[in-house]
Amino acid sequence: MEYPIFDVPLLGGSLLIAKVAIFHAFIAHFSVGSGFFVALAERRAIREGDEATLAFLKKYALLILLVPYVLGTVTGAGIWFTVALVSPRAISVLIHQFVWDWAAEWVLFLIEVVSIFLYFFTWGRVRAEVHNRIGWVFAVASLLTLFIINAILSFMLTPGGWVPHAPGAVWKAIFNPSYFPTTLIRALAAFALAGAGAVALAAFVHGADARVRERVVGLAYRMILPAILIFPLLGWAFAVLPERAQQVVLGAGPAMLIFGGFGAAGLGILGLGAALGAWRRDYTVSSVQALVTVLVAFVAYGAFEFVREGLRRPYIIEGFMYSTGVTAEAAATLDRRGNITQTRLQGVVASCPWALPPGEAYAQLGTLGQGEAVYRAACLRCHSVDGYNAVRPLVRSWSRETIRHLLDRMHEVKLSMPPFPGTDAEKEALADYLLSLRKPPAGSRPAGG
Amino acid sequence: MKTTVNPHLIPSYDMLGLPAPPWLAQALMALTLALHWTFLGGVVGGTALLLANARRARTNPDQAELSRRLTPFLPFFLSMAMTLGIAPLLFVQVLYGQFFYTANILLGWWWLGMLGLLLAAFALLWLGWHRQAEGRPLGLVLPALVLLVLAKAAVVLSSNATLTQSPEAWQATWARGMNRLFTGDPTLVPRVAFALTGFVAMGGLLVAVLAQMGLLPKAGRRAGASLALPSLGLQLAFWFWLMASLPPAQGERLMAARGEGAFWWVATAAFLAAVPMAVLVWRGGGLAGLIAAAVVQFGGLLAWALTRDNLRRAALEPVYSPASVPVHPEWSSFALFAVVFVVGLGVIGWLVKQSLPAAKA
Repeated sequence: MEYPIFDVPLLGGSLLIAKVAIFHAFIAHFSVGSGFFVALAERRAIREGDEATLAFLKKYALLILLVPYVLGTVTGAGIWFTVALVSPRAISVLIHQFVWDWAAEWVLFLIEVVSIFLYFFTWGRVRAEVHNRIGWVFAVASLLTLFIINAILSFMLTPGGWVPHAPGAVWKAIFNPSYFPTTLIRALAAFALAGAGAVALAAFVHGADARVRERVVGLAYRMILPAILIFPLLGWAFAVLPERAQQVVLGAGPAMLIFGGFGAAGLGILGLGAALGAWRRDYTVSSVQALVTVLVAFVAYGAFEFVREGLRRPYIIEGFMYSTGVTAEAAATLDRRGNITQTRLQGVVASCPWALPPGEAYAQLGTLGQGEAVYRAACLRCHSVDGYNAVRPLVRSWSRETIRHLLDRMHEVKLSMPPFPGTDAEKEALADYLLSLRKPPAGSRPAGG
Repeated sequence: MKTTVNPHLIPSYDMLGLPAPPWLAQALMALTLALHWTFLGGVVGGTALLLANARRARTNPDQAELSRRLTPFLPFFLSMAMTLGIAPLLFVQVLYGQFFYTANILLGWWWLGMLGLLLAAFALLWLGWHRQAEGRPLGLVLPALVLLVLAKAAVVLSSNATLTQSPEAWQATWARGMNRLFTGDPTLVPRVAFALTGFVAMGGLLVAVLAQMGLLPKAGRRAGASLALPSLGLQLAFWFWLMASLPPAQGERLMAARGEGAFWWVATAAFLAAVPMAVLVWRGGGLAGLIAAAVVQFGGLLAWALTRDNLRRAALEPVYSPASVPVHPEWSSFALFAVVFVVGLGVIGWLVKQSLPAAKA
């Protein structure tokens, strides 16, 4: 919509965003939790004069603090870059609404960079208490960045009473209905992921004695255990979801149900495993146990993030902007070029000139060319032709009548689909183009290279 | 290349309007950009010094010690540069989002590839740190690779910046095929050359300051100044080359000695003044002289950041001006940022104060 179209072969733009986002979120949450893990473990070791544990922490600080931190920084920029390429109108609205919150988060990033490098470089070179305080500064700054970024993420799913330009709009956007439960969930998830990482560290490193490993695993279990509280918090988050999203969770979206099930099962296994270990005071872990712990943590976390991304569909910002970049009726007075009331009258391609082959006009194209332009304007961001969420396998057995009928009612048939944003003539052209995809792929010609 | 703007291809400005008066976003963008360049200077200049020092470090223990102690600073400088670079990217999206995003998408995988380049630079710097920690020499290849990676990143960024302010080139760029670097702007090469030499100069001065403060071996003072001096001379030459490559109307607007044109004069004065200051520093002098030279260079970069924005506005003026966008400020949200900023500076100050004695040891 309005912008050039970033064509991601096979993956599709939305899956590219999801992959980068989930990887970043996993690393970033791990980094936040690790800050607390190391600061806590160091404080306890200082109090008890436990030099062996301090030496262990020093030796692996690079692995569990600095590397995840840097990876998180780069992949965090990666999300920004990817969303700007795939959904520029969405990131633009978010930046214009939350610019000062992002700027505040940036200050916290600066504190994180300075504190983590100083923490690393000054180990054993400043008083132990001072060093530990530097660690706490990193941990707290990291957690605060999570609090800010989750305001933006939760806003996208539950904008609540947000009305653009209304007094206090930004505060309504920040403290949206799902902000508190999801922030708590994210904090608990961060601690649990760091705990899982610490279990793996204890199982795989060489050169540390058994007592140190057991102390590390003991603390790791205590960081994982509170994650059980995520279950009631998920109930709270569910209660404030839009009705459409609630229906998806309750079975209208089978994929979401399956992924949600994976997430819940993984979380349960992780929590129970830690509870059992802590109750039996058995802090020895084999490498297989450690691998399973990390895998389960990753699957649980990734599944929940996938569900969160999926629940938003067909919107990028619930009730305000569809995943196509077309805005909903609620934005009719704000959006001069890509609102659905306009695109339905003037055509979606009229708002998306980059969907056409360079230098060509819509009227000059044949029916299939016009249909392809409509597909690029209205479908390509979520549906590739042959890759992820592909349309070719979908239409293979469909008649033209079926396709045409679905274009009329796709938002009713499938809750994750937006309403068709164009004119009836565009619908006809798109139906012809989709029908042509039933043939082998040689015929399609991408516009704009 | 087609030189007329196709107005249909230009997206509308964001539907929420501006969240702050343009001057505020412009000022913060320029300040944070200059800070970003300063730390980027630390990486580029520091790596250039490692490269220049590689041979001498084999036979001269002082130079070997300088390389060994300088290497761990570089990943930190890169992290700082990256983090500081987020803020100007934020404000450029606030002010010029519709042009910036279009340029991003036309560059496509090149733009996304920036992240790969940054990760590669980090990995190489860490590898160097690891080698030095094990007592192995750094060699020529590793710092040369870091410089190549960063130079490529500079080309991608400059390509994006020039395409952002060249909507008249979008149609032709699109027709040529997306996912290609935009090299059609005559200012691209002088921009990159000016930026890289400016970074090396800033890095040299930073190394000299750190050495004078006792955070690096004393040999760093002379080595840093020796790197900064020729780089400042080259920077000045490239500065005038860059100005000569501008379209005449834009050049005249920049050099107008009043209003925003004053930034160009300030930048030129700073870059001119930095050269004799560096000569004095190179011949000797204390910490104050070194800091003064670094501050003058920073002032030049800051004035260039403001000039650069002036240039962008001049280029976009036929089709867009941030001043024409409705402003809907969120002052309570800005106040929160301001408080976090002040507290954050205090926390960073505390962190540095606590760590300085250890760093000097």
